[in-house]
Amino acid sequence: MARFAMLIDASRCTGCNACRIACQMQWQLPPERYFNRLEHRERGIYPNAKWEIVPIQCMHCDNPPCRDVCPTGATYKRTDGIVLIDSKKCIGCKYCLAACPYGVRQINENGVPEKCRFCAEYIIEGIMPPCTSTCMNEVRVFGDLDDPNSKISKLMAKKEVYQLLPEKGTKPRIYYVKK
Amino acid sequence: MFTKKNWLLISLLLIGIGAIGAINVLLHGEHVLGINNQVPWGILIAGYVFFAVSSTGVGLISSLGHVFGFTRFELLGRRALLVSIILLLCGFGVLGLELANPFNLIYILLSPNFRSPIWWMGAFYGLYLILLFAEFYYSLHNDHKKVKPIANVAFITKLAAVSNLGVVFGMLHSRPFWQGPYFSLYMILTAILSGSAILAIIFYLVGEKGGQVAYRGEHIVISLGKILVAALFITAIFTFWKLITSIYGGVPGKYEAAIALLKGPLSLKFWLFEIIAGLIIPIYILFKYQFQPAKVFLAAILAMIGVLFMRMDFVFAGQIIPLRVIEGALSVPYNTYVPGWSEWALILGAIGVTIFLYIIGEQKFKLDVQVEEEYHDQAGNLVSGKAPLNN
Amino acid sequence: MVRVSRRTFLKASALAGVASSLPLMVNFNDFARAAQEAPITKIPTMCNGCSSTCGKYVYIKNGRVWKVEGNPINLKSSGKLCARAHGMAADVYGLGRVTQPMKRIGEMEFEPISWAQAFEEIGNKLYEIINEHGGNSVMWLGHGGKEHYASTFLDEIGSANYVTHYATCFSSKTNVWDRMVGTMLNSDFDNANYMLFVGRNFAGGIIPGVMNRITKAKERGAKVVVVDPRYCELAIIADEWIPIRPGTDLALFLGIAHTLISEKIYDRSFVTNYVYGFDEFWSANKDFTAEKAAEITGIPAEKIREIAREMAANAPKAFLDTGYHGLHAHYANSTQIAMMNVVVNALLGNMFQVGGLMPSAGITLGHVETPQREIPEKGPRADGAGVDDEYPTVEPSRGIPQIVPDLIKKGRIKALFIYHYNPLRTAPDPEYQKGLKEADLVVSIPVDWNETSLYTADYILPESYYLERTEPPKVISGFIAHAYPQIAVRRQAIKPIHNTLPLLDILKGITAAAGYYNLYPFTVEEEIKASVKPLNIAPELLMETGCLEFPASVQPGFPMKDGKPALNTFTGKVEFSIGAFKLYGRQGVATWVPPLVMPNGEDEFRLIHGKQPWHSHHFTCNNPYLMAISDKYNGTWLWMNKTRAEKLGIKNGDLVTISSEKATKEIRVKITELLHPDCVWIPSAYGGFSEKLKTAYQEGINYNDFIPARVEPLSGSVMGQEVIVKVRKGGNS
Repeated sequence: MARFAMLIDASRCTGCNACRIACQMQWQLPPERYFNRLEHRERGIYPNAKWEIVPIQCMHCDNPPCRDVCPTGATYKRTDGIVLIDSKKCIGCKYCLAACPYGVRQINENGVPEKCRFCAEYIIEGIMPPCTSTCMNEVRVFGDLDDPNSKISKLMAKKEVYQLLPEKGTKPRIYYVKK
Repeated sequence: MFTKKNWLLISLLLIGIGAIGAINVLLHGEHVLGINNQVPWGILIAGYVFFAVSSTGVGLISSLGHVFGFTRFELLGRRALLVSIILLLCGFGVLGLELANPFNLIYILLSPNFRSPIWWMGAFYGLYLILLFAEFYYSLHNDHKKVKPIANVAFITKLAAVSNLGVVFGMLHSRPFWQGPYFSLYMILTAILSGSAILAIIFYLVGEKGGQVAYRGEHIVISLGKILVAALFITAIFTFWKLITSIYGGVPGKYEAAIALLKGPLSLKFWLFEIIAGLIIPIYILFKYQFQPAKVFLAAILAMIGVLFMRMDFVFAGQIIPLRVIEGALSVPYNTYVPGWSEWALILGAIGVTIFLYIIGEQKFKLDVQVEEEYHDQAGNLVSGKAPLNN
Repeated sequence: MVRVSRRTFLKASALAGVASSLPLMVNFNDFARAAQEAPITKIPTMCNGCSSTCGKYVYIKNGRVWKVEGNPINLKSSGKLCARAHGMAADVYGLGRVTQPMKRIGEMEFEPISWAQAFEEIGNKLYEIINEHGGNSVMWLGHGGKEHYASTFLDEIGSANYVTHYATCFSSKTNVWDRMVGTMLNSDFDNANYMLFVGRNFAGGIIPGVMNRITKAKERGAKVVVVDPRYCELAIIADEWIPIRPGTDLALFLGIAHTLISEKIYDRSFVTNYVYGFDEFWSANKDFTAEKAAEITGIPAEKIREIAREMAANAPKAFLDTGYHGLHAHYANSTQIAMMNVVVNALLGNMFQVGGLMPSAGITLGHVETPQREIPEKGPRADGAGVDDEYPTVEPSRGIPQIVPDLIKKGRIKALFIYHYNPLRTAPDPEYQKGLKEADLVVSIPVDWNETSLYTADYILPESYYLERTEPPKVISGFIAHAYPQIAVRRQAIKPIHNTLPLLDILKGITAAAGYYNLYPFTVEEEIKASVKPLNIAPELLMETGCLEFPASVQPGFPMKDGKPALNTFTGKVEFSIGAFKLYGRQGVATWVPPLVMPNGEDEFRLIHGKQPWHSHHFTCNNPYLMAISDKYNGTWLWMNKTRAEKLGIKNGDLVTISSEKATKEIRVKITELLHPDCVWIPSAYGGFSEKLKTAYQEGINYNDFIPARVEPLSGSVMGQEVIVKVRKGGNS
């Protein structure tokens, strides 16, 4: 069984937003809806200042609050770890938007939330998610943690990693490389 | 002023406004609502909370009679049941319009998620509505044998429903201002507040029209006024400590939300409507005029306006602070949410529907309850029957 | 099962009427269904989101462009694409496109006409103008590229007036490198151990393949140092950001050179063998110490020495990147800056060395054999580039685009063809540039309703979008050192969706109508065939892959011939002293030249600009996807240093009024610690004023509003950052 995850090296991100728009094209989203966003942070005082950018998208948590709160089970987690939304079952209560601590869900024109899908339909054919493949700085590595030979497994073994908001107990499937 | 015709006109006007709002929402969907991805819940959710909690509150007050045997509250009986039903239907109506895909509600049954507080909310309030109908039906038919057990079960159900409604928000670990059991208790408390206020408004008007509102010669609104003032007081204390605990220590998310209420974008609504109009002035009126029914009526109206804004402040305060995913990330200080006109229209419309249906109910059903009581007549003899009002 | 929610059901009837004209996005469920059903074709082509022309694949589904993907072989893309590449692919369906030929009938009014009518009327007018004023009164003003079509036409009529946008962009670089080195060298990112970038933000003006190489170099331990008044995006991944007072980069380079020479850590054998004019340079700059540089640049002398020493220690696997727009059209001293770039790299001895600066491998393509035509003698260049008593040292092959309205006023130019170029927005002083319309005939060949077309063109002849046309192959070169030559081709991905034509067909039509028959006796397919003929490959192979790589043709080592240095310069060596400059009475070597203007006073700032990673030229601003990114991240805001802002009482997000002698505008401010206090910074893309481009219209401001149309005398550049603005809190009123 696959265990899909993503490793993000935020220190390589220079904020070009190719990930955002490549994803928008892949899923044919309108301009104002996006599954990838960048958080910007400035540190220090001129001239000893720094600019840091952290890409954020659905964390495909192992303990996803969005799934827990969904009254109809429209949000579910696949056995390979991907969190998806069955829009057929969604009543549009937006509870999941309120519950997600990462703020990655977006309401579509039908009032149904959408978010990063880890390109579920494509990765099973071996196609990399476009956010990953289009990135000139190779910020993201996507792959299967159950496959010891995958690039992500090898990198995870080598690098020190962290997750965002571990105190929320969500157990995200997106890991970040510690500097 | 408070003639039936005037009330009908007002309610129809409000319904008209609401209908236009509803049509706009139905035609154009989500994007006519002011909600966005940062603030997914707007004043329709606040409106739903307002109606649902008020419905439960009316039920809780009337339970004093049915369940706990305080005879004077038996007076509230059928009217309380009727208004409780109407308020809950209006709450569901507002929520139904807020939901993007209400037809999918069938999946609440087909594919239930027992981990979801909203699922339980649907279950409890659904059950409550059924029980309300049953209780009302048997009450109209004076079948007290059936009313009593139903009322007992309904009491448990409404406590479950209203405290669970607080938990719907309290379960959200992503929103520090809401998270925790506080709002569960708060919902019960403010249910009593709005329940007593609504019943005070109704029974004052019923009394003005000669309906039965007295128990042992005392206007029931006086008792309701006393409950109201107690609820207002405790709510004030609750609000005070909630804000103090939120500010104390500057805990991220809670602190900023409290500041947003005290001096941020929510401060006008908070201070003017929720605190001054909704708490301070009603308390002042109630004490100053010693629970005179006409003044209780006035205080209750102010308190209900306060409750409406309290719900909005509560819903918005939980979402106004941008999620802090990355410490120190650049962000707007507050998320913005400007309700669309349709949202306001729907709230007004629901209030109109409440008034309208209540008037129809008064016409269709026999709502006066004969409370058996013993009293001294003018001659000083102890008699049994319906006492006249002596104020 | 098709699911209809209550709202979509109610909306359905209203939408039915416009469904066919909806943009490419549909809702996800519909899309997923379509995805399962529709066959997908993948067509290789070249991007046009900027002028780097990355290789990319276009995915076509249901006859529509679905998405794009980087070509892994193509050097520029290396399998990656930036935001513009994705956004501008979707723009083929954009609402800003000119959909058929247009003829001006009023101030801002046009009427659609047929191609036949357009060719007929333009041809007749052109015939009259050439008859009356001669062929030299015709100018071709373009962004640059596809020169061969334009030059065929200009050669035929005897016009010398081929003008590109380069003076607004990087002309001092090309001018200087050609004269000092005789060729252009590029950074060898793959092998360098120390990279110094000054005024070059590869993460803003993106070439994905370059950024990929830089991050990979970082990964293997190379040091990256970025000098920029602004903490640019490249600085994010750098080991060090060194802010510099804007306009003083020349002093930094002189300080580095002084350290290298005075501490005798420069490559003496390289200088002895391959450099001409070293002594002349050194005697002119002996006194320009690191201390002096520190005083001017604001960078501590010790830091300047540290840079020089570390570069020398890593040489030849160290370079000062040769740069691009940044610094090469910005200042009165831009030409000297470019000269010092050559000097510093030569002192490191890194030229033609692995890990230093290397040439791009080239390969010779074939051409269609066309019958010899009689070519009339050309007149002098109207813009004076390369003309003795005007701008003798400016490259005539590139011209001086910013002064064209003057040339029209002087009567030198009567007919103006503007190709894929929008000087009203991307050249200085838009009010002045509006003077282009005074020419007797102005023909604009754009894809969109750009400002220049809307305000000045008598005829607008829309070219097909880059995804709708096939073009002859090109050799890939520029910015990346590579030993393996590559060629790439732009191939039509979808049929034109509007009544548009490729440039070749437009020129065939106009020239034939003007009486120049059969000027282009070939089709683009024949051109492609002829191009690859000398390479012994089938054209189909190129069309199927989009990009081909050939065996290595570049070896490290200084070019030698008969045991002597053989650069394409007078001495065959790297020339520190430029003879042509001396010939026209200028100094031959670079020395300190102060910037034209300096800010002075609490409310004065130098206005500097740069590329934002998701916009390239102004034309990307009308793309709703790219502008949505600007909206999300306050991309149009003016950057200001926090300390300076505090003095002026300006807070983050405040509206300010910014003014120079040329313009007064309002803009919101981003307060930051990431900018030198002497300047304010804006992205270069915004400030649209074409009402026909709804998404770009009145979004943000543009630096060109604030600068007059000037000419730097040596290289002809616009000196785009020689402008002081006053900033005050609050709006205009």
